[in-house]
Amino acid sequence: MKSARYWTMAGWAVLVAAALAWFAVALEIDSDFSAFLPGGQTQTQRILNRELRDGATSRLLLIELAHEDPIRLASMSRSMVRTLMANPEFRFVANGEGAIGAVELALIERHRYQLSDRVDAAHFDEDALRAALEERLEGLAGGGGALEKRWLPNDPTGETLHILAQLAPTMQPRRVDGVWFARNGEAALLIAQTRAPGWDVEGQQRAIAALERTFGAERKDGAAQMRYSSPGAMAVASRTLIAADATRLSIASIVLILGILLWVYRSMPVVLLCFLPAATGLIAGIVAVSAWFGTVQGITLGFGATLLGEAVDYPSFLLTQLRLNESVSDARTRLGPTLRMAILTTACGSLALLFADLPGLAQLGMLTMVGILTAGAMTYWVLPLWIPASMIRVPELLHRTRPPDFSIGAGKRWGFVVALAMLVAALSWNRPWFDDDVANMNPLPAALKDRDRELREALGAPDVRYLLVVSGPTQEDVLQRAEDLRPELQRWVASGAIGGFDLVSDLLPSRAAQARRQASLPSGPRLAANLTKALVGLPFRPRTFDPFLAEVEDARGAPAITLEAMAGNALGFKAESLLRHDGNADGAIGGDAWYAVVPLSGVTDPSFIAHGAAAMGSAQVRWIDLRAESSQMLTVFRHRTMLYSGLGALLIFVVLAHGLRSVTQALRLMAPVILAIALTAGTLIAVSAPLSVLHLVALLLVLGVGINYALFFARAAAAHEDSRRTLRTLAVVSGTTMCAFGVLALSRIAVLQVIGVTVALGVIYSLVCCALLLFARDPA
Amino acid sequence: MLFPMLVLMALPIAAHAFDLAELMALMGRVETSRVAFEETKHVSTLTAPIVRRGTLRYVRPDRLEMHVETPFFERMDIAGNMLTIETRRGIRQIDLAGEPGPAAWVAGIRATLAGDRPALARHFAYELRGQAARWTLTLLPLDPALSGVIQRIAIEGAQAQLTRIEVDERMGDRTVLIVQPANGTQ
Repeated sequence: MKSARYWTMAGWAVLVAAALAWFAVALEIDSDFSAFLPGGQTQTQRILNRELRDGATSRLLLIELAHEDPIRLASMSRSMVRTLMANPEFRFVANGEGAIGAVELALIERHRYQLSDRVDAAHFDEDALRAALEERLEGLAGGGGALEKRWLPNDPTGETLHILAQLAPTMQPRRVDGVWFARNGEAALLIAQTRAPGWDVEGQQRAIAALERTFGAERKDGAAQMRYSSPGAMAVASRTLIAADATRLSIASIVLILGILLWVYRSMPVVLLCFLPAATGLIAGIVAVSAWFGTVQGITLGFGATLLGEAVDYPSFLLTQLRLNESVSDARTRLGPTLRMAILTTACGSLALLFADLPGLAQLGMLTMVGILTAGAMTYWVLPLWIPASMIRVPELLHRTRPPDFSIGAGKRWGFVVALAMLVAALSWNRPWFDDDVANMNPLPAALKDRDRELREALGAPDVRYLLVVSGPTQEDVLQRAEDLRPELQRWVASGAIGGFDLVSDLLPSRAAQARRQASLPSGPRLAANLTKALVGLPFRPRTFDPFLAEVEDARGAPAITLEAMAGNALGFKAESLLRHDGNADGAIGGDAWYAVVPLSGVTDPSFIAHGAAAMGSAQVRWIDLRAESSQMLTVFRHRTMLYSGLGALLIFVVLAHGLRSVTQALRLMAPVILAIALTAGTLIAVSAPLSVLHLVALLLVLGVGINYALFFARAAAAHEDSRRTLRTLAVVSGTTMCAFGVLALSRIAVLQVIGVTVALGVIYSLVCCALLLFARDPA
Repeated sequence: MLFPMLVLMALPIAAHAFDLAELMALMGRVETSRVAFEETKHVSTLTAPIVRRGTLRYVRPDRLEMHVETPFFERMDIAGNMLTIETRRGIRQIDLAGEPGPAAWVAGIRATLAGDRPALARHFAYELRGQAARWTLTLLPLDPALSGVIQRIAIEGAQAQLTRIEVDERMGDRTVLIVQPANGTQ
């Protein structure tokens, strides 16, 4: 007996030490919040996920400087742009002054006859040139004269200006002293694109640190304040929040649980031993998750508090049942079947999570299941060896209390339950039951989301919701399709259905289009002759347009402008963000490897656009409403979760029926718990909000916990002499569970908070329903 | 308006040099003005200068309107930072902050008209010569974006009335706007 005790202690110590060593070497904590977003099945969903995770929008950092004199803010904005541009963490930084830089302008000017969609055979004939020259003359005389002069000698047809106008963002913020400002003129606005994609939290953290440093150096001791937002910044903030919350809540729940257990057992060593199975379970769970998934989600770890509260119950199920002078091993033998069922049913509840399509939730399932089984095994086999009965001194108070008289007439019992069910049903019936908005799955607090929305609105960079996606087997193919799209898009703008669009072929025309435009440029002598005729009677000095003749001649033989030629400047970044290569092209539509994203802004009539896109009759052009698409993904996901929950319940039923050797008994035990879950769901719908996937997951946990209570209530009802002890057990375990989840309900992180509230409520309902339907008896 | 001007004119001018503060104070009293103008543009790429005629209107603090009647209709309306150019071909709106050329025009002339000395000093190095009765304010742009296009703006005036504006561009082009005091100040 004694040697078994030492051997198990040594074995346990070695395993825990090995696990901790593994943590030190290999544990990677990841806070990519998209792990809690549904994974993609179709190409559309993969595009969606990719855009969310590392699309251009995911790298976009919106910055606001305020609380200072505007002129001072403008100068801060300018010097911050200079400093940040030199920082390798940023691809580009813009504040509205010269949105297109000298490098980009030179590139556009050099390739203008390949880039401009106006270039065709008629564009350089005598009449067209004459009209262009007259327009230039009028322009020279007019208010924009200074601007005209810059382009006159080499570009009299105004191609560069035409291209710039096409590329200009459709909506820009107002400017003060040359830089972007909010509409009220009180806050300077900047945008930056980080080098690190949005999901790379480390990279995002470096970029944000650089931003904070730069701002600090600029502000000196002024009053200016900076706010910023981006998916990356939100990921960083959420990681910080999660770490802070997890620490805070874990400590709070440990202190509360410690208090309860100390009051019950009056022995620090016993209380510490009670924590051992849970702590070991947590360690085992993290090892399992990290070995299976590679990394551990921050949120999964936050859930450790939950696991702890759950697993701390197991030793209590055993120890609070001890009869006077009974050894822990004997109590284990007596309670074995009930304890085994309690542990297995909880594990089965989390087994269903393991199949979840969200990696984050699957991790939670794995952590909970492995943790529960480990903690259960430890309670079952190891704890009886480690705790001598002499250590347990359950308060006399509890021994002395009279056996509870819990007799209520069947009519009253059922009457109460039915009335409660009807009340909850009446309150929740007319309200929406389910909420599949992906935004509500975001683990971030509302304040951060609001800030993001404010900054987006101020910068005229609305969250991209509507996209056209043009796909094709090659880059050339996609670009040609994008070019074909332009006339239709222009019609949509003209009709007011959309405000604007970003088309990649405007800055990177297909090779075919470039070649066609180059071929339509007239030969040197032809162009010279056309120009001479067009100039008759106009006051331009002779030879003014010699640069034009030379540059058109050069353009005829110029190499095509390519993505590579743009690499490293603002045009290249923009083209890269609009044109994507899908490496994982085994997907739905003919293995199309390339796709162009065409963000549509200012969409006023989504259904018109949807019809228009469908009317194009091309499988390669698809219209995506990102919000609808993600909601749809969530709906599918919710249906799956419900299916898995059903499966989990079925597994629990099988375990119960097997353990109790009775199908009827199993049904009788499960009925009050199912009722409690229905009441919890109804109350949440009636009082707080429609149910999301997270609520469903939490209800699944309620099922596991509720079954435990049902088992012990049934036991108390059957073995009359044990009923006092069993009620004591239930008081202790529901107390600790309520503490753990009640604390979780205080979290600022929606995911944790929802689970906390749901489980705490579920525990109360489970206790009430089980007490009334399983324990109460008719008055004698 | 008339009274302070008479007072100013009565002052012994020779007693001290006319300085910018005085000019700005003088200009700062003008609420609105409307004058006819003739503008001559000397452009190196053209064989003959372009001559345009029309009216200029100023409304305190930041509204400036240029109405060209010949040879082509054009209306330039500057309100705040927004420049609206209306021609036969249509209306164009330009955010002045993005266009150094027009912005130089506007900043210099508007600050002078408004009597806004800090705004003037922010954009230009300046030199004032002459007396209240006849002065020349020379502006040299400070901002590199401005000075890359515009070399010098010379504004001539008599009391609170502008009489001539000359803009010399870096590339050698020159615009001279001569004010014809038809309606005078109000």
